[in-house]
Amino acid sequence: MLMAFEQVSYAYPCTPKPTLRGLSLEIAAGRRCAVIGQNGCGKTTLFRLANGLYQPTGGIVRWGGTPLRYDRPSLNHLRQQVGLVFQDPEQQLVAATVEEDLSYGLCNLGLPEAEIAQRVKQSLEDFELADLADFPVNYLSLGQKRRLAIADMVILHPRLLLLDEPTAYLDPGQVRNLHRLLTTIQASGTTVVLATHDLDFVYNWADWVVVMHQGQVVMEDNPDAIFSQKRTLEMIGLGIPNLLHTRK
Amino acid sequence: MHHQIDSLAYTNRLRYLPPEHKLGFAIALFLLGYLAPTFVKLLIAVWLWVWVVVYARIPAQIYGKLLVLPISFLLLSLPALLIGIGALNHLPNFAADVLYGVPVGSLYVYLSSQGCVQAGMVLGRAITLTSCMYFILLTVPFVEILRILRQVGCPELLSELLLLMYRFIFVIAETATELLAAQQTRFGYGNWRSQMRSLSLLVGHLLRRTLANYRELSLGLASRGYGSELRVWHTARHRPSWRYAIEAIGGYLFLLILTGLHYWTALC
Repeated sequence: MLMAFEQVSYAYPCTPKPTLRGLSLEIAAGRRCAVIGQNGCGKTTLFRLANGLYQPTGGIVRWGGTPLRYDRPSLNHLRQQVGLVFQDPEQQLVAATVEEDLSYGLCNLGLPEAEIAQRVKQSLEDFELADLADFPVNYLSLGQKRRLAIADMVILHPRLLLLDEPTAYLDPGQVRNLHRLLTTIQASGTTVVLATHDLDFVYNWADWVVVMHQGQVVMEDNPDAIFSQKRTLEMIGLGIPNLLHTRK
Repeated sequence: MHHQIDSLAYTNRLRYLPPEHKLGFAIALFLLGYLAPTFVKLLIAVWLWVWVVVYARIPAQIYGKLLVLPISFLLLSLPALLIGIGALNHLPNFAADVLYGVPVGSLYVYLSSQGCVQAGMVLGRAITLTSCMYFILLTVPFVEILRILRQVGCPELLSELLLLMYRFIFVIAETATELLAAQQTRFGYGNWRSQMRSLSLLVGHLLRRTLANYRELSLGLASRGYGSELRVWHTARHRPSWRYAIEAIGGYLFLLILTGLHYWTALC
């Protein structure tokens, strides 16, 4: 078990209701996990708790069995192991060019220059960004920015990669590319957890689905088991993949 | 979102010359342009036109439009230098300065010869120094200017602020464009009143979004292990060119000699 949430609650400052209410969830290593739920159910909050960006107002978050500590060295260590890709890649791309942005996290880790050069070169090839190495980040398309944001995290070799709505605003071709990319990342040993509204993507890609509703986990199982409960899913504002509609 | 000058800086033909060489060249010409006589200033401006339009392949139309902007301001102020006004009964005192004049009541309005010399010098200096500045802006990407600033010891805080400003000015500009378009689709700029109201809403909204972006950026930086510095690495891709170096040095020496000869002759 990589990460565990034990009765975790979180309320944003100045909001009357907590966003997460006594949520319990375990993320096992090696999984291809998808988290689904209505807007506002707490998926983004869950991921940010996992990355140590927020501290829970109740409950415990554990990494490798140990409760998270929120001092800077512990958080830096956690963020090497747990990579989080935001829904809006613009918020995570901080350098001027693609190559510099890839190197940013590695420089923060204090790695030797030779290793940085090697990892950046490899990442540029793996993520098909080699032609854009010296290109300004401002001029990338959304799909390219998304690819770069994912590369920025994968280059740190995390054990757990969290992606917040990676399929948002992508066209079908880009979604297929993302599917291949995430499969490759997961095959290399990184556990991948993503939040998405794209149920077809979930059905095709995930081997474990977590369903959230109003700040809690209401169901978790393999995709076939989850999507067989159509009525329950519809009651909580979700549905079933179009693929399953077509089959019926 | 693309900014024209920024785009040109990345796509021009002199892109991969070392930025230190380009900056050094422009700064040397800047200093010479400040001190040189008018004809040398104009030679510098013409030479820089060659560098920008012919060597860097910046479209002449774009370069011309960029130059017109500051020069238009200057042209508006030239009449103050060119035109002199004196009392008609004191004309013998300043007659030597008059190129052409007309009496207007008790005053004498005239084209001043000293004024013409001054205007020529100011115009020449403005064109030259502006050309130097545009040479830098059009051939050296901003990020490379930042790298050089760091190399010469610019405070980290300043260079990081500049980087973040550069990075996010595009985001803010794009947000503003989108908000403007959204307002226009709902008749937000139909008349003066709605225009002012829409503009105030846009500014307020932009501020709120900028603050929200700042919060998200802070989290984004934290998620990537931000300490207290924005340290990055890059591959050095620049290739010095003997051909351009020889022309730059040779041309500069030639202009320096012309300047020296002019002042030597003036002294003699």
